[in-house]
Amino acid sequence: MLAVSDREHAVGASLSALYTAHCGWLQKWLNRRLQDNHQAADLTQDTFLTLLVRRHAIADVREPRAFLTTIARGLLVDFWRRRDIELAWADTLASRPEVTHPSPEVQLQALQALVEIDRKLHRLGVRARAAFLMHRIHGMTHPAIAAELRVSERTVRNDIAQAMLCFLLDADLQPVGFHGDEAGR
Amino acid sequence: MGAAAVDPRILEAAAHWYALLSSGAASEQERARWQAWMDADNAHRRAWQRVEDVGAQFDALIAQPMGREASVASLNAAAQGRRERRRLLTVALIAGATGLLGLGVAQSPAGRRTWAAWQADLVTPVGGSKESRLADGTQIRLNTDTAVKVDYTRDQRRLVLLRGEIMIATAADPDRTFVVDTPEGRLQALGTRFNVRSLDGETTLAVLEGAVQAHFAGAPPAGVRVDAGMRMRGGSQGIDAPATLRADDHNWTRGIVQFEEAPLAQVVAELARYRRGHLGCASDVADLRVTGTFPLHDSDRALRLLSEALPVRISQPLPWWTTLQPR
Repeated sequence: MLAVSDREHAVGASLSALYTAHCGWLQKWLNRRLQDNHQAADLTQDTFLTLLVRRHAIADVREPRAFLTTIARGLLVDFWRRRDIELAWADTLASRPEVTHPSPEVQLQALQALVEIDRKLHRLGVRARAAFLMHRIHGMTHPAIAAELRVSERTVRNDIAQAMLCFLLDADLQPVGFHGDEAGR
Repeated sequence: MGAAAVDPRILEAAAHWYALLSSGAASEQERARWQAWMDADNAHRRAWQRVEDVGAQFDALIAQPMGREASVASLNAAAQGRRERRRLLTVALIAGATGLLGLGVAQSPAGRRTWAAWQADLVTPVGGSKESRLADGTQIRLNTDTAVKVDYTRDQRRLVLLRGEIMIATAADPDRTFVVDTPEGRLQALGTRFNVRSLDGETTLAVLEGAVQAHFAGAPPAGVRVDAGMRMRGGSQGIDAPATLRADDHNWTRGIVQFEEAPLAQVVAELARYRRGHLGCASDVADLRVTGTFPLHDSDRALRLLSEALPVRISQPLPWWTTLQPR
């Protein structure tokens, strides 16, 4: 027990040292990409929060800036994903009469689902992604998708299997909201 | 890590089974092999459970009106934004490949469908139906999965049927003509009640009262007059001469569909228009004859009725995947 709390203490201490040393620099780095100081400050906090939650052995990190930017880049990608999805959603809504708008709760649910889906499919190729969305969201048959994309049904089947695999594998890659950094593994 | 990690090779097998089963091309032997695979190992079952869980993630999107269009739009925007940012980061490297999805989607028929719904003023989801009164008092009723653009000007009242099916009862207006445009042609109302269906590259006009002047590609330029009690079809397959109206041209407004000695495949195709997800039937039973009246907005009940009257059973390997199989 003592060993664990010692370790936690060490993590806390080195995290605060890391924060003091690199917080300003990281926020500038993020601001260059976001052009928005508020968002940059938020994501800076999120980056350190991620470290805290994941209890990394921070003392071992040799190149703290590379380490921090790797994590920040992941958060940045999530941030952009969420923003793009929310903007496109709002656009679609604006083009429809207000009476057809779903309730705020339903919208929130849909937006969360979309962010998750996009996160899971983001490594997939353009065609496979399109095939899967046609299949799953538009309910199109394989022959219809094949005609649409001008490929064979066999290719469509492979694309859909690939997309499904993205979803199936993802369940083993949680924790939620984090992805894609080699430094974290 | 998730609660119970599954060997990636097993997940890959599950993904391929899913793709095969969802293709509709799986043979009986392949289905049996899938069942055997499921029974062989608990890990296989767990992997398949994940496949089923994926379906649930999409339910929140498809369940609501405008869900499908808004969802695809949002996902495309995210992919597009990602590509654009990547381009900014590595300017020259992939400059040529950006925007492909956006363009591709805008140009493909499914994409046009998506864009189409964005322009629409009146929209119904799959299984939906709605009635509306336009500015001039014209009554319009939309059937399932329909999108209509309303384009009224000083000189003309114009509706664009982007997809789906509508029933119209026009209000009188001596100064302005009333037309419905579909991808296949223009229908000009001559004081009237009529039904227009635009489906699979074909427009079907059915006139209940008054008359409609129909202008289809390949028809005389002056158009063809279709009187009350008559129907006419036009589209990529050419045009048919006006013929006697059929009950199934307008039965949908009563929420029912009637068949007389119709092949099961046709019945299933009609019911599928009103149902989310896939609905199909096995080729062995496609030619069974069906006579009867079915509810349009309760396709589960319609399917139960079919499975009681015919030697077929309802197979639902995935929540949104339904086929009629020989019993």
